[in-house]
Amino acid sequence: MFTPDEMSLLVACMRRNGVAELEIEQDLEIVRLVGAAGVRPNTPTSPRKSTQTISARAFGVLHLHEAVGAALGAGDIIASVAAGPLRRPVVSPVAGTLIRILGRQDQRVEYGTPLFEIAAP
Amino acid sequence: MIEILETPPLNTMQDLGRVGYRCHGIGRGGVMDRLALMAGNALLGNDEGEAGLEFQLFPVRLRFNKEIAFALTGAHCDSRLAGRVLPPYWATRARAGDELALSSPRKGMRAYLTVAGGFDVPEVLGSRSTHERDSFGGYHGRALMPGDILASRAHEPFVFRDSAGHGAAPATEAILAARCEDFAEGEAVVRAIPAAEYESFNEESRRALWGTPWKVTARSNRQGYALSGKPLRRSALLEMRSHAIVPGVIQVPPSGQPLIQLAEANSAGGYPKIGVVIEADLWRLGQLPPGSTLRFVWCSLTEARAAEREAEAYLATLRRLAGYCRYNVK
Repeated sequence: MFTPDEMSLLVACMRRNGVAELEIEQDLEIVRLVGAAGVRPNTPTSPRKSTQTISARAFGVLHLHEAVGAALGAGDIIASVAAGPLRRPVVSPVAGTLIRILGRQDQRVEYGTPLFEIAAP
Repeated sequence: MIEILETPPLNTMQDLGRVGYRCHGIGRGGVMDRLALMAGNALLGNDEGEAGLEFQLFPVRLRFNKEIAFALTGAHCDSRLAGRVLPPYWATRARAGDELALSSPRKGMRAYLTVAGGFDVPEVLGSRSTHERDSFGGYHGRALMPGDILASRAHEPFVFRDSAGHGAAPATEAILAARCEDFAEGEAVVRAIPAAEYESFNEESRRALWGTPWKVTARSNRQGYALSGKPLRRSALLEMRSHAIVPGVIQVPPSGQPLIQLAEANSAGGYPKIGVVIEADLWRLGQLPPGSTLRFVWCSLTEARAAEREAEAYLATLRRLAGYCRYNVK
């Protein structure tokens, strides 16, 4: 009843909204999604206060848009995560310099996979 | 409301074109890259054939005078919304006062701007495409000029799930081009089927059509592309009456240098036709700038239909997934 892409969007939506369990019934089919224990939807922050780690907010294939050294403004799109032909943005929440790329181009990432480190200006 | 601040000539409003008026001498018109227009509409939840602005010359600058969701698809330009870089094939929301700037494309030739709800211009003969030569359709029947103000039609208001919006895998990445055995790096490949007069060309010319590169010359525009390469010759010269032609047809005038008729093709023509580029590959031609090199690959009707289905599947999946990433608001 759902394609893998649609399923991953549902899972991402559950995680984002803190939904632990979801059951969908349609005709004779039932799909039940249960969140795995220990998955925490908060962004890990590195011990040095001046750098911030940006993590994936969706499940899919990573496309990098920026290179190390890029000067970023808060709200800039630095990458996208694709489910099928749809690409969702990875946004820098702060202004700063992109100092490390932790994800690889075309890597399959999950919610919470660390992707970038940004140093405050 | 969108105000055009800066635009070179020849940028027009286009949709999927006028169908059914060729008998009156009115060709189809419409966008040169149908997939890009339809992908933009899919990202926004519009009808697939909503009109968009086709930009083929740059730089372009415009200002959104009220908040609106829009998509920018087609050629990969360095595009900035209020100074912020937008990825190619991206839909997002502009705030009132935001400026959008597009520079010459790094890849491709034509960029498309679509807006949620579509542009508010009347349909003329069933289409919002600009028919520039006869001055009707689109925005006052003419190309865009600085100072033009375009409004969008009302639609069900929505928000993007991700505040930065969302995008699509560009058609060039999502739908792989056909290949030919011996093509060189950077050559574009399109599929074609032989046309009515194919057999009247000599064998050497028929081989050259499929086996040699063709250069897109500077005499190429929305009406058609003039190619240069090995001259194509017919075994016997026959007088031909003018007959109906369609976008994609590859004609061979007496010079032997082929012409591909495109969006603004006349409804009839008299040159012999050696082949027709399949409908599913016409959008690739729309993204080829003059100076590009082109190869033709023989294609069966079955393959042509399969190529059409592949494009339909890309658009349908995009539309469905994008629908999950927008919320309607009351």
